[in-house]
Amino acid sequence: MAEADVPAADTVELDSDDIVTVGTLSDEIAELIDGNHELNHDYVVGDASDCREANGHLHFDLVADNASIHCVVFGFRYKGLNATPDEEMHVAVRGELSYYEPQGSCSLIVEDVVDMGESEYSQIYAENKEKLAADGLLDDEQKQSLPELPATVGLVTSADSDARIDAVTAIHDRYPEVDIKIHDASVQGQDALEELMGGVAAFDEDATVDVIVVTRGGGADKTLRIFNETPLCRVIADAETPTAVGIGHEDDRTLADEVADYRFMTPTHAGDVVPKRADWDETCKQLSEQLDTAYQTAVETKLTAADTELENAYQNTVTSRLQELDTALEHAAEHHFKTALLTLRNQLETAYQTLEQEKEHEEELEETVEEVRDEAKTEAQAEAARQQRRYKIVIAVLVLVVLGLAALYVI
Amino acid sequence: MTDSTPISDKVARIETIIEQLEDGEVSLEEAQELREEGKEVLTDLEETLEVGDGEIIEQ
Repeated sequence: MAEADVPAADTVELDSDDIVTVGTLSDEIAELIDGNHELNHDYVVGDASDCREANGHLHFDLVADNASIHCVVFGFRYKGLNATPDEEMHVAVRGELSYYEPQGSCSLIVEDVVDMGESEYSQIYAENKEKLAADGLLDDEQKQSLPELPATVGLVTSADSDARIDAVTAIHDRYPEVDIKIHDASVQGQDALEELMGGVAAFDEDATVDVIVVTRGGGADKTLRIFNETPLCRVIADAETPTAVGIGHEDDRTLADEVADYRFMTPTHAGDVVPKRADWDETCKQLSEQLDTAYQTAVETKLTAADTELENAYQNTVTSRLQELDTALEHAAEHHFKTALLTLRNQLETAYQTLEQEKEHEEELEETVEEVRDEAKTEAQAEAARQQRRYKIVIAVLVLVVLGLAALYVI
Repeated sequence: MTDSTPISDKVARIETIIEQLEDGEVSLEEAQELREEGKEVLTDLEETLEVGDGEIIEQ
């Protein structure tokens, strides 16, 4: 044990001389771990978890029961491993225990990995999934649709987590007017299962909550295992209120995701449970414009049709009337001409008759004149004859006279 | 249309009204009635979109 290496403070006195800095303690732990052969075993057996690469090295956690130790495979040993650990692998790890002072953590510096078969947790996971599937809780037919527009979202998450901030921000970024009720629940650890189930059940009882969102941020796989527990999955699946679950990162999948009505990838995608207000505003604007345009078009079409109909009716009426007038005029003209013609004909007939009568009368006159002339001629001839006879008588008398005279003379 | 009518139904009704008006098979009186109904449903839809105050309620 190192001796005390911190001088007494000027202002605060501690009632002990055994005072060390973190660095000293860290050195002591490192000396204990690195120098203790009892802590070095040929193999350490457990499930590989949270396998990831960083800076060219492979990191994973070796877990069993509730214990876990970090393991690292340096890059130069990576290709020489007997087996490459993955999430579903039960492995035996050979390596050396090392204390990493900057983080105060112990790690196994892995020299080799032996595949021991399927991991213990993989079996548990498979059994849980099988139970849920047997009850039909993984069937798509069991899933409800999310409400078109939830007025209130019930958010079950750790109240002081980044996930809470991300989820609230994501929801309000899309739809600022949505109310969010937050049920604070541990998302890992001993109390997590009960608190998560309690949160979901409480919101399912709350008639004002339209959708229940369960979320937490990313973390080690083993910390997400709570979301594979069948009691929690059943509460989520059996909720009458639609449920949405987003756990961890994009590539994290849990059974809670699968039984939920809707899965979103991360807390920042929790906004997917609400529509975009801006989209609805745009939809309303477009509908309003389309409605006005359609109405205007319908009215203009009707008015144009009515105008055309009116114009046609007017044209038809005018044309018809003009035709009637034209016909009437034609008839009137024809009648007039006929009448005039008839009158003329009558006048002509009358004139002709008059002429005929005058002619006849003239002929009669001529006949009369002729008769008169004949009578006059006859009378004249008779007169002449009578005159001639008188002349003859006179002459005869005269002759007789002369003769008498002569006789006398002679005598 | 009521407050409980789904938003999608309200949108569908407005779209149907628009289609009827665009078909041109309606009289002026019917067009007026359809427009008034469309405006009412649109107003109702806009009111429905005002869901809350964006409150954050810690339980």
